[in-house]
Amino acid sequence: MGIEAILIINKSGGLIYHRSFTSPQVDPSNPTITSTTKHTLNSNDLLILASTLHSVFAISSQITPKALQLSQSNINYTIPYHPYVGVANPQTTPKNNMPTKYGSFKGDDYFKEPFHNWNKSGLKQLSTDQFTMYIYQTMTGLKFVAISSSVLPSGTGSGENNNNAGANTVNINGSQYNMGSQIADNLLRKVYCVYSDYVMKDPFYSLEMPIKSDLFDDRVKSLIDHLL
Amino acid sequence: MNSEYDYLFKLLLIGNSGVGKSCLLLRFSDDTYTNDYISTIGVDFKIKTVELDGKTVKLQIWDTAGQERFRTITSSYYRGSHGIIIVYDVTDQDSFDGVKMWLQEIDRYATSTVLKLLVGNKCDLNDKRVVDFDVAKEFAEANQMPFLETSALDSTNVEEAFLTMARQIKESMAQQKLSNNNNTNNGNAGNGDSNNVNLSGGQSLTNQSSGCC
Amino acid sequence: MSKSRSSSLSAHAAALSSKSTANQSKFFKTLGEDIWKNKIEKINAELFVMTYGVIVQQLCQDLNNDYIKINENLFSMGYNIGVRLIEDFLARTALPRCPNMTMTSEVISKVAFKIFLNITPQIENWNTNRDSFSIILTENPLTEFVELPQDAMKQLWYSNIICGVLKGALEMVQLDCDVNFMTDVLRGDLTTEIKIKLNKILKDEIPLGED
Repeated sequence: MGIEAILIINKSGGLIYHRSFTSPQVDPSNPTITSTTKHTLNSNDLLILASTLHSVFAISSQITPKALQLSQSNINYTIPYHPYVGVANPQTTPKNNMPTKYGSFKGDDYFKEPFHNWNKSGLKQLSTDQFTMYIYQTMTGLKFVAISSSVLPSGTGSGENNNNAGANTVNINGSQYNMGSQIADNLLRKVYCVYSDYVMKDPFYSLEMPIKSDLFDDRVKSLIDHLL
Repeated sequence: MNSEYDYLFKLLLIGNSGVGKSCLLLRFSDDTYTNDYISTIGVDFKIKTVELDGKTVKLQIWDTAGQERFRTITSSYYRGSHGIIIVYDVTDQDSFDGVKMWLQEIDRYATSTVLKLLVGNKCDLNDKRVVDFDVAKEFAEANQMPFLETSALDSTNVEEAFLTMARQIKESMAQQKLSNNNNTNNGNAGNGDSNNVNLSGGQSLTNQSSGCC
Repeated sequence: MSKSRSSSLSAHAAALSSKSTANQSKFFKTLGEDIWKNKIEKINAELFVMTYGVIVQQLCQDLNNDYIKINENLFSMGYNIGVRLIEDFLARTALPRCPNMTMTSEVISKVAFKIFLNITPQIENWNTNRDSFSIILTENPLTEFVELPQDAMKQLWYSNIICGVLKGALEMVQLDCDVNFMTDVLRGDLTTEIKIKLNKILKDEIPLGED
């Protein structure tokens, strides 16, 4: 799963964090074009992008037709757990390379069970042929956004469900789950975990303001690095 | 990438249509102009970067043109606003009467500590003026908000208004921690404090604005 | 593996949507215990108790034993912790929004108090509207070694920081509540009781997309 960027949008629609993960790679066939040319957005453009996304998210949550709202009242909003998304897999990682701990989160993964998705009627995913954007919203109204370079093939990250190859969805309890979206939700909940440690517990951080923390940066980078 | 700015303030611009909200903004923000297409989702954004006490502050102004269409998400525009600028047209009585309605919206959707600013636009059209400076000023004082008049010809007032607001927001962020101290489970001493901040800033602004027109 | 995952998935969902309060109660108890045991890093309890003690003592010095002011300061400190700690709580538990205060009280007692303080206080004294209840702290880790001086016994709510934390955390999930101490064994009372009363649900602040 190639993650190009992670964004965090506060509850009032302001961009408080943006980090791009594409390193400038020179195309051997055309050395003048680098892959970073795709990202020409300056900080103001990004602010507008984030706030527009926030607004579209809000609008999309309002346009679910009433009939649909009623008939879908028994939708299961649980997201399946995918093991070791963004962290070192203890089975495949040599012992001396394992991080000792993940902040205040004990064990070899941040969480290990399926979890509730608070985002029920808002925008979850936005795709073009070039990228997919995944959105995870918390109960407090924060939005964690991952921009992925491609639509994810099924089974990425967990190495299972190979019998589903070709189909991009799996069927659990009668609901259609998009595999890419599941992995993104697992990843973004972990970014939320890291945020709750390294941003919320930093006494010098002002709430709702831009995040400028190297510790947080490092932890997010580590999550992205451990994605396959 | 992340360290380009230290603070991000959300300012909201409201007022009846046609009062010149967008003109006002164009004058102020030379940083970015976004095109009209964003208005189709009910809001347009302008950004101004200013320096305050050595900190880089981004003022992101949410220009809520055409928001009637998406009434239901109005609250999400008001949410978390640090400052709200209400604009009316000095040549249009209806737009001034509308200010009351906008204040009700603010009461309903915004936090009680939000900073407010009343702006009378187009004050260069003196022969067509129907809203007196003194009437508006009195109204603003009664509602504990600073007031000024602007025109397309006079940009200094606009610049000053935004900067004063930014400074007040930054101050009140520091103040907030103090007022939280007073804000106990028994007493609500916090509310009075924030109004004081608002009011004192208001006086200085009103003085400046009297020089216009 | 795929099969076992989907069965645990449905078990999880079933427990959360269960109409039976007993089932829910059991689920929260297990969840709180599991997180406390396996998922959260701990610190030394004495260091924690002494750190809190020195904060209260310093406040007494700074505010010349004005206990009303000290209570306010502790509450405010707690509030500022609560509005931040709620994110840790939600990131860690990912629990859905509680449909009523009964469930909120269960989550506070069996999950929140459990994972942050390793206690599971009793919930009692419901009013008829079921929007106000009391948390009875049968044990209080903050007061392990504490004995209040005579003059403080009448006015100081030594653990008032907890009320602030609850107030701040609940506000962030759009529940506007009053939270305050009613009694404290440190003051010679028979029990230690914190009362939570829901004023209103901040509906306008519930994030769009949740319903």
